[in-house]
Amino acid sequence: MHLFAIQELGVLVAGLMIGAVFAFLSPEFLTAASAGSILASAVQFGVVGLGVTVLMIAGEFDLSVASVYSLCPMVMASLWVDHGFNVFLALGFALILALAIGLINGLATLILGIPSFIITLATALFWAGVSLNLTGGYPISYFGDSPVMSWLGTAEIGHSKISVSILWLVGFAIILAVVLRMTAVGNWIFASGGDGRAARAMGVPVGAVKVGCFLLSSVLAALTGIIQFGSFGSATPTQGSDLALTAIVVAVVGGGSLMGGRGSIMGAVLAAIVLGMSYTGLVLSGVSTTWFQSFVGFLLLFAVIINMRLAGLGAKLGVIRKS
Amino acid sequence: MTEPTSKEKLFGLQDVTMNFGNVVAIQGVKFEVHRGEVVGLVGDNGAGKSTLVKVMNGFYSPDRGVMQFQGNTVRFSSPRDARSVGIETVYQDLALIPALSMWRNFFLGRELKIGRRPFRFLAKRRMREITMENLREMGLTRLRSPDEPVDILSGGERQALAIARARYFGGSLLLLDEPTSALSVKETEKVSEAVQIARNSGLGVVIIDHNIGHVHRICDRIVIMEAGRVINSVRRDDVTAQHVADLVAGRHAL
Repeated sequence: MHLFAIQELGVLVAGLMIGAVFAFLSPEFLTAASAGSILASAVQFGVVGLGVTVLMIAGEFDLSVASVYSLCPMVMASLWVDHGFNVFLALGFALILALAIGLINGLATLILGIPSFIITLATALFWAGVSLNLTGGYPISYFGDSPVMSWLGTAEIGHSKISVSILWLVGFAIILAVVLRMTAVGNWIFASGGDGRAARAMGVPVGAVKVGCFLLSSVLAALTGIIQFGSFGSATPTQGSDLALTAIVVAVVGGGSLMGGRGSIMGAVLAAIVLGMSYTGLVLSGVSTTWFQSFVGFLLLFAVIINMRLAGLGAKLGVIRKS
Repeated sequence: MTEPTSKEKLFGLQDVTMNFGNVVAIQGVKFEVHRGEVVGLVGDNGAGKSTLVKVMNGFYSPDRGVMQFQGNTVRFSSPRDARSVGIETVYQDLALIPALSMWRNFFLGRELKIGRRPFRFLAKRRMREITMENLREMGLTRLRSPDEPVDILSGGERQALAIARARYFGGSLLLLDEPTSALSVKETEKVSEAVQIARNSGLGVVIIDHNIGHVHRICDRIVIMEAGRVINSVRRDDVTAQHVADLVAGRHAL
């Protein structure tokens, strides 16, 4: 296979360059401990990023993921820790809430005919307020040793410094990559985002496809928050307020298009790892993490330029990408 | 060339009338198309050509009249009904997704699958082969791979892909609404070629086109409409393009 036939080449090149810079700046960058930290952040950006990527391929946005990311673990923690519910019941309730929020986003977008950017901006603000008022702004902490928490993120793989939470990212990524590339539903998702009218004319149930993608992005956002709760033992109503835009960065750096119809799961995973590398790299290089957002801004532009240049070069060379 | 009328009748309309409120769009239309026949539908703007095609493909239900498809009386309540009996419409916007590959477009909504439920995966290799084979048959010989996106195709090639797709999925009647309106002469040739191939494999084809020279070149029969009525139906071999132009312009000189 030709090098330029790799759709994720752009993010791969960006990642290697950023990795090289940090490895040069800090001797600790290329250690197991650093890898553990990189992967832990990659999970936070990646799981929610996967859902947003699929939704963006279907031609829609979800800005409410940040609010769902803080609200759903808050609801789970509140029911379980504060009100003594069974942990699975609390988890189930939090996920049903995520599904309901996704359903509202999807139906409102389709029925009202308002762009999902606006709809989910509105729901994002609403649910952020609910999340804050749930405990009056205070976090909920868990100090026990429930196996559920260790499976969500406290446990480490073997004797490595790598949290089990990476398995969630890998698992979701494999399932979604298979669905997108190897099933009819995946074909419909690309078609719905590429040209919804044409897809409908060919009998694709575009509305159902899009609502399904809204449900997915909402549930994955909730799970990201719940995995964070599992990893750190506390749920905070204000956490992850910038996650909605970071998730879009993941999708775009991974090769997705804001216009819909394009995007890659592998690319999103790599983009999440590059973000994790940047976060860890900044810390290890002695730069304050308060500079992280600025760095993400730089990274976004850098990766998009590389993506465009490489795609142009590949087209000039007449390389065919398998689809 | 064989007489078109000696061929098996595919689709026949008798006394079909369609009103929009007080406006009569088409009135008492008699129309037929046979297997292996290309019929051109011409007439001035507002003559009722598009309405007639939309009655044939189930987009509209006529207020009066009888339609017979392959000998059976039919009533369509949606384009889906028409498609299920084998009437395929190639729309002006073609219903193609530019960013998707040719084979994914070719099978969009009708994907071939392998494996048992719930693990039904795309039969990619078969779909690639079938797509390539059908596009080659349509005269698209310069294509390298069915994995290339549709947006590398020219306008004429996209028409050919849409026609190939309609033919492959059991269409026995193709309806083309202004297939060449935005195309260069060279691209128009590609569409003509695709239409001839579809016709030679036994399909009936109905084409709406404003370019009378083009219609005269590729159609076996030309039906002229005016103010919602069919005013004439001529065999191509009996008339020149100029005759047809005169008929459309209302100079009934034949």
